[in-house]
This record gives sequence, C-alpha cells and structure tokens, in this order.
Amino acid sequence: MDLVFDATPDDLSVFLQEADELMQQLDENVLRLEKEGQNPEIIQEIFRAAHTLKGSSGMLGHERMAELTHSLESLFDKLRRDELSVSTELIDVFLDCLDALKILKEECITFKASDIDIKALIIQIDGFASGTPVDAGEAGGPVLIVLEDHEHDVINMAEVKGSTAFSIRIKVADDCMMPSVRFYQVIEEFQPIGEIIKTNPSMDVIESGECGSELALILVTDEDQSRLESVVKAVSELSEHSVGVYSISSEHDEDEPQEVEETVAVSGDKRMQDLGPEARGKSAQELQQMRTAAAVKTVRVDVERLDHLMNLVGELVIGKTRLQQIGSDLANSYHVGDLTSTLNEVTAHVGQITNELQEEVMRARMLPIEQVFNKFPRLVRDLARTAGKTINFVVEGKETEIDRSVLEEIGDPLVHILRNAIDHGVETPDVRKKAGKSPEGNVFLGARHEENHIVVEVSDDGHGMDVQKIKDKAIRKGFLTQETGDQMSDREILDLIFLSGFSTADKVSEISGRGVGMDVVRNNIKKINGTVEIMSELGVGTRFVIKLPLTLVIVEALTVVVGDRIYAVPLNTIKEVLRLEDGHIKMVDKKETMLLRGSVLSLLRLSELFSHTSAADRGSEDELHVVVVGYGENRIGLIVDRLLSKMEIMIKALGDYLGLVDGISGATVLGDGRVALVIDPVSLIVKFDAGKKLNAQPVSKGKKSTSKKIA
Amino acid sequence: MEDRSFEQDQLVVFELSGESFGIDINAVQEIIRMQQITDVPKAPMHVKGIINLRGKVIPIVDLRDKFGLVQTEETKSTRIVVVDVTGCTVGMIVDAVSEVLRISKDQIEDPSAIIESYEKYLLGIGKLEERLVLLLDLGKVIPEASQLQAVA
Repeated sequence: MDLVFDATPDDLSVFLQEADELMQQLDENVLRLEKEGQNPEIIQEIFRAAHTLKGSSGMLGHERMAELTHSLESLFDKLRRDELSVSTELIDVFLDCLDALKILKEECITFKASDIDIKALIIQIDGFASGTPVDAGEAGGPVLIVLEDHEHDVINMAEVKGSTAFSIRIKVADDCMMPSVRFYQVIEEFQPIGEIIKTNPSMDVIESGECGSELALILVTDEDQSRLESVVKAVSELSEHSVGVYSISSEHDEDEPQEVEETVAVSGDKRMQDLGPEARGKSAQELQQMRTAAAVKTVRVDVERLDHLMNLVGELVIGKTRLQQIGSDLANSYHVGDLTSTLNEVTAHVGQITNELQEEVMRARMLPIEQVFNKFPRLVRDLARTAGKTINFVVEGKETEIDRSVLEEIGDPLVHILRNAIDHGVETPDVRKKAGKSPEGNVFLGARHEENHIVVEVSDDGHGMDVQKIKDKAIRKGFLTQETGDQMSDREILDLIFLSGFSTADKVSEISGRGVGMDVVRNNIKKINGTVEIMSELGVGTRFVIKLPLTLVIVEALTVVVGDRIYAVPLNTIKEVLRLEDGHIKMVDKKETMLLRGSVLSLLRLSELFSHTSAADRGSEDELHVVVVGYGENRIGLIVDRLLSKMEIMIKALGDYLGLVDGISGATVLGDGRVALVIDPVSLIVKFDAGKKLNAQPVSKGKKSTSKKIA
Repeated sequence: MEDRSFEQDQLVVFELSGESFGIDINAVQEIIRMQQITDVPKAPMHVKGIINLRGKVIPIVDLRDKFGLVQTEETKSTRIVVVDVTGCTVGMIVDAVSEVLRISKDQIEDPSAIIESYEKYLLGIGKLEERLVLLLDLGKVIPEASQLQAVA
C-alpha cells in the first residue's frame, strides 16, 4: 500500500532527522532504564521523546506511528507517576516498539506501508499500562509533580513579576471518607489567592473521586508562606501538610543543590543539557536567557556545504603557502626593501587568519563520536543475549570530537571488532566462573584525544587470542613457513589476523575466535589514514587500539626530493629521519637493509619503486636520507635524495581516471604550484611484506646511526 | 556508422602530428598553456601525469601515444585541451588549437574506409572545402577509468 503524508519533502526530511535523534535518545534511555531501574529522570526523558514523536508523526499524518507513540506515551506517563514499575518484560516490549518505530520511520522514505503489526504491540503496551497500578502512597515515595516546559515558563514569568511559587502537599487522615472532597476544598481555597500551575493527581482524577490520600500542587502567588499555611490548616480532616517554596530539585533529586530553581535533568531539553554544568546554579531567568541564546545560535548546515567550505579553505592554505614562498623568493633575489617587508607582513597576517579559519572550519565539521558510539549499547545487548553471555559494556569518551568524514568510516570496523569481542572474546558465564573470573564479561569502548590523533580502544576481558594457534593456522594455510613463524614475535603473529583470507576457514571461533573479516577492518581504517593494533593475552583479554587522524583533508607532511620529483610523506606516519653514510646499506637476502639501533630495517628506494632516476644513480650513498615510516610495530625505510620541508598539504584524489595507484594516496599542490604525489606508507609496507615478516628483527650487534626526530 | 552523431554542430579543431581533429565544443572545459606535468608511477603509457588546474588535480593524456602518431616537439603553440567526459576531467596535449568551426551533418562521412589505426576512436570525418577534420569520439578516448583501476 502506498502512503501519502501531509508534508512537503522538506518537512519530511526535518521530521526524519528529528525522529532519528529521538529514537537514538530512546534507544539509549531504555538501556539506561534497564540498568538503573526506576529513575524518574530517564522516564521523564523517554516520556518526552515519545510525546514529541507522537506530535510530529501526527502532524505528518503518519497514523500508525502516532498510535504507537501514543500508547508508549501513556505507558511512560504511568511509569513517571509511579503507578507502574520497570520490569524486564516491560523493557522487552519497549525495545520491540522501538524496532517497530524504526520500521515505521522507514515508511516515510519508501512511502510504502510495511507489514508490521502495531496492534499487537499496542495491546501488549496497554496490558502493561492497565496492570495493577502501584499505589503512590504504598510505594513509599511522595507524590511527585513533574512540570512541562511551558509550566516552567509560567513560573519563571511569575517570578520575574515578584510572585513566588510554592509547593504544597497535603495528606488526608486515614479515616477520611472522601479525600477528593478535601482536595477539592484545598484547591478552592487557593484559587482566589494565586494561580495553580499543576496538581497531582490531576483535577480530572480528583473530580472523578478516584484518588489516593495525598495531593501535591504548585501554586504561584503573591502571598507569603505563613498565609498559605493558615489556609491549609483551615481545612479539616488533614493529617499532614507542608508548604514550601517550589524548586524542582527539592521535588526531585536530593543531590541537586537546593537553590537551583530549575535543573537540567528535569527539563529534559537537549539544548539545556548542551549548556552543560555551568547552567546549573544559575537563576531561572538566566537559564531562560541561555536557553533562548542556545536556540538562536544553532544553525543546521548541509554537510555538502561544509565539505565545500573545507575544500575552499584547503585552497586558501595552498595559496598562503605560495605567497610565503614568493615572499621568501623575493627577499632572496632582491635586497630586502620596504615593499618586500610589507609583503611579508601581509603574508604573515593572511597566514595567521587562514590558520584560524582552517581551525574553525575543521571544528565546524567535528562531531562527537557519540553519534557512532550511541548505537553500540543496543548492539552489545542484543549480541550478548543471543550468545547467552552477560556483558557489562562500558563506554567512555563519547564527547570526543572527530571529523565527519572519519566518523562515517569508523562505524563498521567498530561493529566488527565489538561483535568479535562478544561472540568469541568473552566467554559464557559458566566458563568464566571456572576460570575464576566474574560471570559478567567486561567490554570497554573508549575514545580520547592523543596529540594529533583520536585513539579509539576496544577491549574485553575474555579468553584472548592463542598466538600458537594463529601461528599454526598461518603455517597450515601457507601464509608462513615454519621457520619464519618461529622467528616472529607474538605481536607480529597477532597482526596476521588482518591478512585477507586468513580466517575464511571453518570453525573460526576455535582458532582464537577472531579474524572474521579482520582484513576489512584494517582496510577500512587504513582508508581513513588510521592504524589499528592488537594486544592480546591468553586468558586475560584482547585490546584493539585504533588511531585515527583528526581530519582527512589537510595533513602535515614532509616533502622529499627523489631525482627530479617531489613526494610528500604524511608526518603522522614518519617515525624518524636518518642520514645515510657510505657503508650503511647492507644486503640481506638480495634486499637492501640497514641497521637501526640494533634492528634490521628494510629499505625501499622510491626511485626504483616508481621507476625514475635519483641522485643515488650517480653512485654515492653519502648524503642520501632515509625516512623511516611505519604503523604499529611495522617499519620501513624510504631512501630519498633530499629532505625539503615540513608543510601542510591538502590531499586530493588522483581521480577516477587514474584510479588507485599502489603506494600513492593522492596528489597535492605545492607552494610553487607544482604537483607532488603523496606517499601512502601503510600500503607500501603491506605490499612490501605481503604476508612475510613484518618488522625489524633484533640483531645482537648494534651500530649507531645519526638520527634526528622530526617534531 | 552508428546513430551517434554530433548533437551540436560546433567543433573545436586542434592539430596533432600534422592531422586535424575536431571535438564537440560542449565537452571542452578550457584550453590552457602547456605546463609542468608530474609523472604518476605505473600509469598507462599515454597518461603523461597530473597537473594542478587551479587547485584541482587532473590527469593529462597524450593522444599521440594512443593513436600511434609520431611524437612532435613541444612548441610555443602546444596546448592542453581540458575536456569533461562522463564526469571525468582530463587534459589532452595537442600541438595547437586552430579554430572553432561549424559543420553540418551532410559534411560528415564514415571513417572506416580511410583510417585504420585509430578508427575506433572516431565518430566520422568532416569534409571541409580543402581539408579533412577527424571527429573524435571522446566517450571512447577517455572513459577507461575502470580498466585503468584494474591495471593499477
């Protein structure tokens, strides 16, 4: 059946965006709810999200979605009134509903009605909702009042005008026959002297007579506290009463400072949360201002526009570099005069602004890694359930910001690694108990900044990888000979699981449990100039450390000269730079190598690799340089004629026409307008060893080389 | 020849090893002077390398290699004709760009009878008063990205 929505395509896309965010929020919150139990804050957030979804889907005319969200809303309304309690069954139904909502959301893209049966879900939900409600009084907690945004606004307004909001609660005597009458009486008394913002139970419930023994209400009035108390005292048959100045924190959360009149938690408003901790402790008025300001200051920008902006900035960076070059050329060719020094001044100024602009644009493209991480708790939960494992999943550093383009690529590899960690890494509770571990497996996912990188780490405390088994398998599959296998370090052997075709065999899980599509993981990470390393200890666990660049577009690079060509080598892959002296190069197995602090380093001549001439052809090895590049523990030395300079480059793809060239990640335009090829050390190394021994082997006798680090 | 013919009758005519070639003016993005070309390792013979076109990196091809024509020295009139074919921007080295002219369909003849070596790249032969202009089928000359990727 085709669906018709009452919305323009623009409206729809706005709705989809909003729905995505809300469902993400729901996903997260439901898992928190499962973990933390009856947390009013979370329930309130879920209620709000369901409510918003109901509203917007209703506006679109998406009836089934509106129906389902309506049921959810009523369910959580009961929860927040403490008339229901959270149970595993409830969470399960709720998760089913979320899945259904996602399918219903897809309908807005396909315009085809899916065959999902929401009636059954609604019946289930209503079943919960109509289950024996827990009496508020018996539940032990006081009757809560949770205010909506607009109600807060009324209070704020009133406070600006000099009125005060009071929170009043009364309890009727146990022998009171009709509490509703007394409640009604109290409300009647208050109405002439102020404005009643909200009551719990609501007026409708009171009028129907089916209320408990407690009443809470919020009153905004110009009268003082003692006057209100005397009003309450005048009503008979009340066993308890209290009148206090209203503040959400006292209503709600003991941890919050009392003077806070509106807390971030209760507002549930995303923008408010974004305001962060400094928002706490401000007056309601200030908060209101901050909220308005936050609302005005955010603009949704098309991603393509940002990309274009970034490209323009990249051009500007090139232009800046060229200007600098012209400036110094001028100063070198002619003596320094007024004009040249003015030019240099202007160039410096433009340079500074360009740098700032670049930083700003880059920051505008940054998103918290949260966007990817948020999907994982659900994934982990589901995987763990299917695998019959209990897993304590800890996520850290969600707020770490990373470039959009990197963010897009990192999701899949992480899913892969997490899946492996749960499927094969963490043992079943029984096995864990036998091994003397806690039955609950721990999986950790974290992100953090480290210098110019983002480091993402996934670790588990499962049974780890069996190096011996991996080695045996590699030998059996012909990746290694027994001899080379024996010479390899554990880490090198672990690295083997990244080889393509390594783990296509049967019973993958028996061999250490990992490796399914691990080559894909590494390739994906490599694609975004990242690196991945594994550390694993048998019986203790496994750790993946992924290093990602902050941005893909502009990188720092060292330019080097080989023959008549210039190459750019990304700085993040350079480990060190050495000067070659005569006799440094040793032939091992017909390949050029050199000793570097007691280790053998394989050497690669860029001129040979890319078949052109080099200064080395003139015979002398003296004066040549070796750029040591690598990732993880792997190193290789690139022989170049001369080092040029360190500069910022903007990597450009070679384009469809040329496609991919091994060892080259793209081209860049240099300061003088020339084009230089950008070396891709990772693919060079991978190609160079192609499954052979990956890195330098310790050798007994060491020989020192002149080495200098590049900052 | 097949149905393919010039929708537009305006041609950019350039010289290559003494022969005149014509291409659809709509495919021509711009014509620039010869400049320093950066080699790309392992690229096919006829790909001379890449250049920087106002910040954009584009590949440069030499049709002489492709068509098996004699190499000529670079002169003052050597140009790079930048064309846009099926989304690819590519520069072609030519000895000189001579003119822009109009041609009508009845002036175009089937190429097969006359030229054998690079006939497959031609749409036809334009007969103009005293001379012949070989009409290039850019779609056949340029889009080989997929093949190239396979090689690389």
